[in-house]
Amino acid sequence: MAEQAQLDKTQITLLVAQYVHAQDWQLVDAAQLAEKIWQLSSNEVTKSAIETQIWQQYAAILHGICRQPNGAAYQRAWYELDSWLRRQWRVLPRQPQEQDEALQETLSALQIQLEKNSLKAPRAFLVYALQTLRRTVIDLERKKTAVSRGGDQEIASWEELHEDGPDQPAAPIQPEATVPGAFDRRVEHAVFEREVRAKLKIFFSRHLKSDQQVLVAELLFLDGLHPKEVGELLHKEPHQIRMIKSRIVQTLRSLPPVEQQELLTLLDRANGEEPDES
Amino acid sequence: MNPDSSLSAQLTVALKLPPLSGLSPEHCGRCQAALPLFITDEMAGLMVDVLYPQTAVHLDICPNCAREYEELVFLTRSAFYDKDAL
Repeated sequence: MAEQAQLDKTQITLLVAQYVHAQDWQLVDAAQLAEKIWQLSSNEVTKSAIETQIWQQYAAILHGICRQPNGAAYQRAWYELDSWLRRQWRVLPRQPQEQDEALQETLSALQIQLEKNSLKAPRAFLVYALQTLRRTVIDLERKKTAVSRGGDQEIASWEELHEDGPDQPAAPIQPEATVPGAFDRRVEHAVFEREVRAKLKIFFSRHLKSDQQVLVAELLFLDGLHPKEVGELLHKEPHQIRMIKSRIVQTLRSLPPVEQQELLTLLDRANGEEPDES
Repeated sequence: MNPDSSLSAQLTVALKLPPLSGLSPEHCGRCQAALPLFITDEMAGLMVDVLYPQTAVHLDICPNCAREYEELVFLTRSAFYDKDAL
C-alpha cells in the first residue's frame, strides 16, 4: 500500500480488470466498475487507493445481490462469498481441522443476518464476513477445548454497524480574530503553547518506554496528526501507528495518580481549558 | 495548541475513563461491532479518529479489542492487498 505513482484512466481500467479477475469476481462488468471508480476518484489515484475502491465497491454489490434470493445472480454471489472466505483460511491465526464446518457456519450466520436486515454500510460487508469467519473459528476452538473466554466474543450485531457511528460532528473552524490587540495575544498564546509543549515533551520522554513511542506521542498529541498522517511520515501503515498509540495510552493510564494528574493538567492547558481539579 | 487538538482531547478522555475492570462488556461489544466499518474506512484513508471517536478511544484502552482490531486488519490486508492471494 505504499505506491505513490498516480494512475490515469487506462491504467485504472487495467488494474480493475486484473484485480476482479484475480479475485474471480464476476458479478460486475470490470469496465463499468472501472468507469465508476474513475468518476469517484479525486486527486489521490494511487494503486492502493484504487484497490481499496475496488473491494469496497464490490463488497456493496455482493451485499446487495446476496440479499435477493429471487435474483439471477443470487447463487453466484453466495458461491463467490464461499470461495473468497475459503481462500482466506490460509491466513487465519487459528486453523482448526473443521474447515468446511467453520465455513458453513459462517455462511449460515451471514445469511441469517442478511435475511433479517441489510448492513447500513455495505462497503464493510467483506470485512464483516472476515470478522464472522474469525469468530466462528474461535467459537469452534472454544467448544472443542471447552474453555470459556468470557462474553466478549459474540457475533457483532448487524444493527450496530452504523454508517455514522456514535460520532460528534467536528467543531467548525473559527475565523481568526482581527480585533485590536489580537497580535499581542497571539504572541502571548504562542509562548504559552511552546511552554506547555516543552513540558509535555519532557513528560512523554520521562514516562514512555521507547524513542519511537515518544516520537509518535508527540506527533499525535502535540502536533495533532492522525495515525494515517503519522504513518505517512514514518513510513508505516495507520494500523501500526494505532497499535503504538494504544500501547502509549495504556502506559499513561497505568501511571500513578500524581503523574496522571500532572499530565491531565498539561493536556487541559494545551487544549486551552481550565485545569481539572477532580 | 493546534487547530486539530482532537487527539489530545481523546487522550484526556482515555485517562479519565475507569480501569478496564470498571467498563461493562457492552463497551467491548459496541467496539467490536464497529470494527468492520472502522477498518474499512481507515483503509480508505478516512479520518476514523474523528468519524468514530468512541471506537478509537476504546481501542486505546482495551487490549482485547486492540488485539481483535489488529487481527482483523491483518486478515483484511491479506485478503485485499497480498499479491500472493490475488
